[in-house]
Amino acid sequence: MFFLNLTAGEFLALLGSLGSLVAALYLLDRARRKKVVSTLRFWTSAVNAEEKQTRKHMRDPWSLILQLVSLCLLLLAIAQLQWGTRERSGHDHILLLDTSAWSGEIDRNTTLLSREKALADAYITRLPARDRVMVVEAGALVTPVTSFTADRAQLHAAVRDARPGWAALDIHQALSYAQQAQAWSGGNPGEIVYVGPGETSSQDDSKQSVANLRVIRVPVDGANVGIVNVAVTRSDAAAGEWRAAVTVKNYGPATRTVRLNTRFGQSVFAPRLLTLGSKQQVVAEYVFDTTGAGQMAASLEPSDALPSDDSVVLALPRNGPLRIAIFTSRQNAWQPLLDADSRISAKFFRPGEYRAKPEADIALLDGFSAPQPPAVPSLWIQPPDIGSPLPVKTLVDNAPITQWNEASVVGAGLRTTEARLSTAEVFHTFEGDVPIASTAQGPVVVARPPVAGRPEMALLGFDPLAPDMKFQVTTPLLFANLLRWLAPETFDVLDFAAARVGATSLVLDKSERAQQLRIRTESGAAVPFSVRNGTLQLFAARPEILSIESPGRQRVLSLTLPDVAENHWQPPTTAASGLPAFVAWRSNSVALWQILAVLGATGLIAEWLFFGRRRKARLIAGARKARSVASKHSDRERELVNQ
Amino acid sequence: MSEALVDRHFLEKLERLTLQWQKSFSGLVGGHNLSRFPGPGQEFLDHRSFHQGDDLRGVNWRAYMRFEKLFLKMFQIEPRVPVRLLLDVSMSMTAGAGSGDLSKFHYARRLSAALVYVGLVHLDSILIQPFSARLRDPFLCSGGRHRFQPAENFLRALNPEGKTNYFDTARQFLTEYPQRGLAIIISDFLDDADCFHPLQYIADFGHELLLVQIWGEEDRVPAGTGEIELMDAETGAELKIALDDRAREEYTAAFDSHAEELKRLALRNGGRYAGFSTRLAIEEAMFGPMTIAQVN
Repeated sequence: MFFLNLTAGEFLALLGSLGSLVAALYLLDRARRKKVVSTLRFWTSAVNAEEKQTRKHMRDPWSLILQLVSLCLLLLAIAQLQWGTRERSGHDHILLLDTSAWSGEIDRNTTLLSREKALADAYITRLPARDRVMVVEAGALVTPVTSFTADRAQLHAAVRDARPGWAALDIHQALSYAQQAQAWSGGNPGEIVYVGPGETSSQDDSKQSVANLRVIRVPVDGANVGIVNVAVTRSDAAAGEWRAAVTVKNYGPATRTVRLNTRFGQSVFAPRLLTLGSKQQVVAEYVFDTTGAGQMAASLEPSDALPSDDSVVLALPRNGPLRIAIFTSRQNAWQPLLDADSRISAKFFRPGEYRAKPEADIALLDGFSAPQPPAVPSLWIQPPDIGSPLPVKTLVDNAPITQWNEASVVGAGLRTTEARLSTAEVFHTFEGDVPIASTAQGPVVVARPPVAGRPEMALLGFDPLAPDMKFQVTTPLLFANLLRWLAPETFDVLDFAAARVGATSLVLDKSERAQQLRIRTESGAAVPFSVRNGTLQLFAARPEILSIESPGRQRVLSLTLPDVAENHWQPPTTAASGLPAFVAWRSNSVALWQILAVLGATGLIAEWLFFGRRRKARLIAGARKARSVASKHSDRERELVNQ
Repeated sequence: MSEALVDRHFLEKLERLTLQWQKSFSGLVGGHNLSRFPGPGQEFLDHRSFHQGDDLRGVNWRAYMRFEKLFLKMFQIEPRVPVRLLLDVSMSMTAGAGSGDLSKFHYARRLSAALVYVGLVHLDSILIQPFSARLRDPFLCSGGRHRFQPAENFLRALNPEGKTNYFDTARQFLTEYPQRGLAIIISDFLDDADCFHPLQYIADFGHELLLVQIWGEEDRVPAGTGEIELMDAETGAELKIALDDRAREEYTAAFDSHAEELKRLALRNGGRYAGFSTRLAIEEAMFGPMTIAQVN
């Protein structure tokens, strides 16, 4: 026997206080009444009333007993006395609402998630009022939306606010979380209810054992053909050439033919008809030339139930040669060096034609000082002492280069000490300047990163075209490094890809180191990642555009395609399915409160019938008698007055 | 401001009543006979020559203009019988009221106000003398109906206090007011000691008694049954009794016997008696029992 609403202590305290109150009222009702009179002379003489001792015995004891018993019964009814095993509170249920990519499937103008919500609301409605529920959104990640609560309005609001996700369902993680949450709740474990199509990211082989599992399956059409990924790479063969590959997959059981439409900017490629068998994947490749920036878009026709993977858009940057404006009086000397690289387009100007804003990506100033600093990144060759961006400390002759700054990008790979400079300027450096090559007297090659709106610049204190330097291996490498540092986007390897939301892996080049990788979102926030066996692994729970930078390579990973699960989860055979009946959790105790309430009310009515009504009748009779006596004596009084 | 003791309509009805007494008091003109003695009054009696020290207000100036000699107007004196209204203000007057009835104290004040107004209308001088264990400060009102308001204010300002002691009250009354007159005593006459002998003394000294006994419904017919703890309103003495119908009847009989004794005492001494409950309206009391008892 136990009390559902009150503990035994609370019940006894309440019964004691109310019983005392009833007993006090009872005694007060039957207590000797006090009356103030004008005189006592007639009471003592005429009435012959004797002073009574306080009566010890209680009048109408059964009335008090009946009242107390009735009160006890009513209190027990309010306490919802039950007969059976202890069950202090309701059960704690976990409602796993599938918000994976499949929940966005549209069927007859309603999303699969809408049908899930209707079933989830129906389930919540059918639970006993005291049961608590935690709503959890299950996708690639498990996100609890509410705590365990019996507030139905809060639960319905949480279900109503759920939105379709982009990642695939990880059912094992969701079930593990639900089991742990039930264990932590401290209440009676209820059901773990999964509402969704049951399409998961991984094949279920383990048959995870979950007690009290209920699966409310929402059927999914599954006839979906979608873009799996798009990869776009800049070709090394020719400037302005892009190679693109679009992968399309048929997730459905039947063969389907779709049309793949691709375009770059306003240029539309010829559409391709793709016939895909069940679970078949096809790669469509494209090669196109363009120097301008633009968006490459791919889409499938006709659209299907899951529209989110039917189209994708990738933004590609400009892909032209590096334009260099060379202000020199030695065009013939520079020509062979610059013609060696097809990615460079050089334009020569005489020093008198100098402009601060040339139509080029880089300005090269050969042996003269500019009246105004260039507005683009610049490379200065032996600037004169007067007008040099960096003050010339001294001139050295026949000086060997004693130190190369291999830590910088410009000095990477340059370590020869055999180079001797016939004539060189030694620069005075300031804070922020990076010495690349130095003699014993000081730096002769300096790089100055962009500062306060001024573009980056580099200074060579010697002539790389001088006869003694022309045949040094170091000279063209140094020149190439300087150009790469001044315009990295021209020389870096560029990869663009559109891939699925969720866990993504990327094979790195052997030269790439994990320490050198920088992965950021569009907003600049760093993204956590790991590198294992030369493979980059990262995770995005929602659509993101990630920038992955490493020395000499830039990747843009557009995780904007849904991660469509391809495995069908088979729940354990012990799991219940479908919506439960209205009273799913039958209590193993018998409620007695109705009987107790009836008995209590009957007791009170009986008390009133047997004692209360009789008391009232006695009072009425007494009053009638008093009135008759008064009337009799009033007559006598009138008689006296008349006399 | 507290409510008036008697309303205007009731006062208008009271104007046709008169305070009456039956005795002929020596030295005074009793009943309605006027004296022929000169003195302060309203009715002209005669002229005499003006002497030094006479009140100039009595000079007949019209005669002076004619005869160039001062004559003094004389008026017939109106020696009224002194009317003294003894009002019981003891604590017993606050007890015994039935449910919804006025207390005896308040009822007695209203009744006193009505009697005072009746006297003032007929230019009687009335002394209001509250008493409980002893006489308290009196208030003399005379001079017509326009002097009623101070008397009503005096009555309204009274508070019940103390216990009744008729012996001391009678002794003090006879000492302070040797001139005989009409003594109207408004009380419940419910003191623990004997009230008959003091009243007899007052009558023996030549005062005409007019006893107005007021009782509450509970004073005469106590309500309720069962165990009751009684407490005397004046002394605080307590008595525990078991009240039943028989005891109630015996009590009422004793009360009526007491009232009958009071009435006999009044009539035996040439006085009058009126007794009624506070449940009876003041207006009905004035025109009913009080009129039957020839109070007015």
